[in-house]
Amino acid sequence: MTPADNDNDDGARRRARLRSALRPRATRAQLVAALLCAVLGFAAAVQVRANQDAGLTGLRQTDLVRILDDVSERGGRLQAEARALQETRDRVTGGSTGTLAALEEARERTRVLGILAGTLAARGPGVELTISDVEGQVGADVLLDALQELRDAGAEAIEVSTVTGPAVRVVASTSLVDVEGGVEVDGTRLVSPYRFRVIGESRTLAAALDIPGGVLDVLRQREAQGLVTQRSSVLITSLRAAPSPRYARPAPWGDGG
Amino acid sequence: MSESPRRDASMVLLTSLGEDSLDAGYARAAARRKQGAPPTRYGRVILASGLVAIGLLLTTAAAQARDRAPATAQARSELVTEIEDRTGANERLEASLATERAAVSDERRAGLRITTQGSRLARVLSALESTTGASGVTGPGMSVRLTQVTAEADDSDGDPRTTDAVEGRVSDRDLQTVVNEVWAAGAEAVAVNEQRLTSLSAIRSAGEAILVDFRPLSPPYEVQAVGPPSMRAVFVGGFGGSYLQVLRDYGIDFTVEDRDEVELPASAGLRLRYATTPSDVPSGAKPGPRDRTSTQ
Repeated sequence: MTPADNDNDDGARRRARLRSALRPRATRAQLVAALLCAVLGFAAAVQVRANQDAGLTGLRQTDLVRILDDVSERGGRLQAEARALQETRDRVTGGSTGTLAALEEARERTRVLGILAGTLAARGPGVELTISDVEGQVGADVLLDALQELRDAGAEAIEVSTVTGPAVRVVASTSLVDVEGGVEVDGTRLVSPYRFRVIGESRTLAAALDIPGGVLDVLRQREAQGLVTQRSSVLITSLRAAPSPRYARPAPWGDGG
Repeated sequence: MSESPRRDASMVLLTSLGEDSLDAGYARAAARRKQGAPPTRYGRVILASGLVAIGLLLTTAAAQARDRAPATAQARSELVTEIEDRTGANERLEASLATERAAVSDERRAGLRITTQGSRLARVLSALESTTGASGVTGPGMSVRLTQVTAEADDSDGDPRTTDAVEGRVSDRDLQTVVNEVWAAGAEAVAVNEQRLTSLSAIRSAGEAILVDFRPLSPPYEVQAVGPPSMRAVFVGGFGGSYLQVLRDYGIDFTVEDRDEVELPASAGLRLRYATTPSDVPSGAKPGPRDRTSTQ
């Protein structure tokens, strides 16, 4: 077993004792131990399998309730769009009046999409979020988190700015990048204090920022000050140039053109 | 042990604890056994009552767990069924909406084509639709795919306690960061798992599930983007690339590939409920004085 350099009598005896302890014997104690080991192994395996349950079933009930809420919200939006489309269709398909209606409808759609694309100014109820980051702890990650939280709470138009400096209209393609002493938003460098002007349901927006572990919590952790003010009217005047996509073409299905 | 007990007093205790704290007890037990002295009756009673107590404890715990399990499990499975049903209904509605949207768009265009004013409006509208996500787009681009390797992380050492919820799981923060970097790399249009991103889209999580536009997505996550040929190199060479490298250490694998042709669907439900164009600001206004509302 071991090299012959071992001439220690004591050591040999100890090893012999260890071997005899390991040798299987059908004593009652060993049978009981074996049985208990088997039960433990089985229980562990069951537990692991239960934890691995994939997809929705593995989630906590509160999370499921939240997802159900979100899915229902989405269903509501889809149904609203279905109704709107039907109305549009009824108006637009109507001979000579249809042409006029089509023009009218196209203007309305340009208005909505213009607000979304940032080519038009926007007004509505909403909130203002001011962030003063004296310690320099607030980076692109925190502002991105705030942006996502605001969108999740139904923000329809957003502008982010340095309070007394440049402002950037936030659109779908907006990206935030950390730069020396501030955050670059779509190529414009912003520094603290930052201000978000947001149009949407003001109470929902304010509540979303104030949830535990939410934006205001994170700001407190980073020793920055976040201030949310609900407003009955927020005016967003920073604009984007009219879009001229160079690579994205309207898909041939449906919108061939 | 040594001649200077003042200094080593605590050390002696430690040493004896480490070296021979059990030896004396074993020796006594062995001696007793050798004498053939049977365990005392008192000892047996204590042993027996201890075992009974443990047995009772385990039984009660098991019984309680079993009582509670069906109720929770049932409520949960009902929720899951409800979510799946509604998600299915939403998807069917969405599919029919896509055709409807296309039809309305065609009719609108046909109506507009008649006048020159209309034709101009149609061109503006088409560009707006592509940029905002109101219409499907196609073009050259890239695909970033994130694959979670959770199962492996769980099973590798067979110890369920090492299972870390964060390990190997893509979080909403990860997806937000990747998408942010894809936009920063010059993307014109982006979709996550066939879900087009618009200025209204949020990427959020509920527990371990990720939702984009209130729709639960399941892994693997694929971010597809239409954009310039340089997009992939800029993305990989920038913060996005290094972020993905870090994710790899957490058991999340990724691939970034150029695509000759990416097809991104239209987004559903681009409607505004609160925002309108202000009548006092002419459309197409230059970025004006923004500090109109005075703060502080």
